[in-house]
Amino acid sequence: MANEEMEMEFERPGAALANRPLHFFWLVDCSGSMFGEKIATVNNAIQSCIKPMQDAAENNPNAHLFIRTLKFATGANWVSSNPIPVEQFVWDDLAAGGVTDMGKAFELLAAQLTIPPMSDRALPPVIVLLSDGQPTDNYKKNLDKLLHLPWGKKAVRIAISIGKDVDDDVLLEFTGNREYVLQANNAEDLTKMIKWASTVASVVSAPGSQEPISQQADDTSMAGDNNTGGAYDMGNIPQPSAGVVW
Amino acid sequence: MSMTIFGHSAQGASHGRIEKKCQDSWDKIDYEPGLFIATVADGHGSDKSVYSDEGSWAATTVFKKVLRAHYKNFNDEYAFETFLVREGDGKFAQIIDREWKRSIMDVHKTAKRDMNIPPEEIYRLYGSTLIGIAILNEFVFAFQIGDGDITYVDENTVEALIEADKLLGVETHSLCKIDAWKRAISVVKHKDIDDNKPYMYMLTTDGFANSYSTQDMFYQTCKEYYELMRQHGVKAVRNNLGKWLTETSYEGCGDDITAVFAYNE
Repeated sequence: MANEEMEMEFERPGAALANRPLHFFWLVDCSGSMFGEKIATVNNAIQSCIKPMQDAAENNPNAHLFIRTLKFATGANWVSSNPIPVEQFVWDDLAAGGVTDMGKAFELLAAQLTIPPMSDRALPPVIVLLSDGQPTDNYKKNLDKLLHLPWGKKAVRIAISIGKDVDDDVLLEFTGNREYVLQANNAEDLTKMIKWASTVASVVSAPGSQEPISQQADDTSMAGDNNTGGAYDMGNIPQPSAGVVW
Repeated sequence: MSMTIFGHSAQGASHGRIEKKCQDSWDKIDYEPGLFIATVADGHGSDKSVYSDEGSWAATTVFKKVLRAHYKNFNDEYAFETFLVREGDGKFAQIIDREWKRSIMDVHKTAKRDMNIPPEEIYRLYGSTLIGIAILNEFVFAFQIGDGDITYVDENTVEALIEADKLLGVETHSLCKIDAWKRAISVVKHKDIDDNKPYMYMLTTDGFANSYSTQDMFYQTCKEYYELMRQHGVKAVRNNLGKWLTETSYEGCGDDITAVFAYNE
């Protein structure tokens, strides 16, 4: 009997296996001040990032990257209502016009970062906010709500500050980390920052390691820690050029 | 009671791609009359925890030694149970924390590694989680610092023996933190179990659960491992476990995976 058992072939028990989802969000300011070179640069830069993101994702079968775009101007809208697998993602050029309802964007984003629809087994989401101005709506309440969600706290939040008219304090409130507010002074900078931000997905999805929870997050874990990207060594954060400033 | 304890640590797909060895460890005691111990530790495996395979080994060794020493000191199951109820996440956890850190310092010194860095940075090099159980005649004790799962399965039940804080993402509580014992949790449960019926405790690193989409699918998997042993015997799982855990990592989350089974039949 024992020999028979040893020789018997068994299928692996259990449910279907799954890799870990990673949700990547582009939050793009499409207000009137973005009209022209700025929005064109955003469109071109993000478009050029898609293939490298797909290639990086293909090299890591243990994570599944999903991308979504949220645009805000007068109001805010998801460009696609559902998460798009990176291998199917295409960029639809955005147009600029209207005011800067950033708070509305935070509200829509917060609704997608609750559990569900997010899985508690996902990798931390990556949120990249691009803006060249100041919120024209009352953003604080919705940002506060976003940052108190479990995945809102754990998300890697990056802001790209476009030109000289941005309220960087708002972007700093969003990221919780000054290093993650990237200054883009001109089209060249903006392209560089967008490309760098797009690579953060592969940093976050590099699996196989854990990090002890940071002391700050541990100390404040009951009170809404703001631990953006603390578990990752981002390295090589690009610096703005000294050239022309928008 | 006829308890069999076995397990396996499988190198994760992600570590396989970079030729980094498995950072998990597991250990057991199944020879002490009246006492079974099973323990699993998950080394962090990050660039800041380069010796975490040694840290996880130290964690399982310390757990086993400390628990066994206390058991022998009490020499009375009821008194031992009372101690664990009162001090499982207190004095006992403090001893585990202290002994792990002492063990790490010994390892670090013996290996002639850099001693001119603060102790907390040395501990970080060896960062690891720890889960473990002790199964006695009348009760089971479960202990946990950091992530991982200890699951009880019988014919009608699949449930967590101990419920740890679920930290999202890739962060975990860790033995390498100062006062790590403060994040320890423990539980003592009376075995209102018919020892004549098969039951199982399953200890797994987080890579196992993270390879399934939902908690229900994880529980379904625990149940199917139990059913397989029940129908075909322990060998049906033991002989294939390495292959299955590797497959689980490659098609799942990519992390190192350890599973230890304490199966009673």
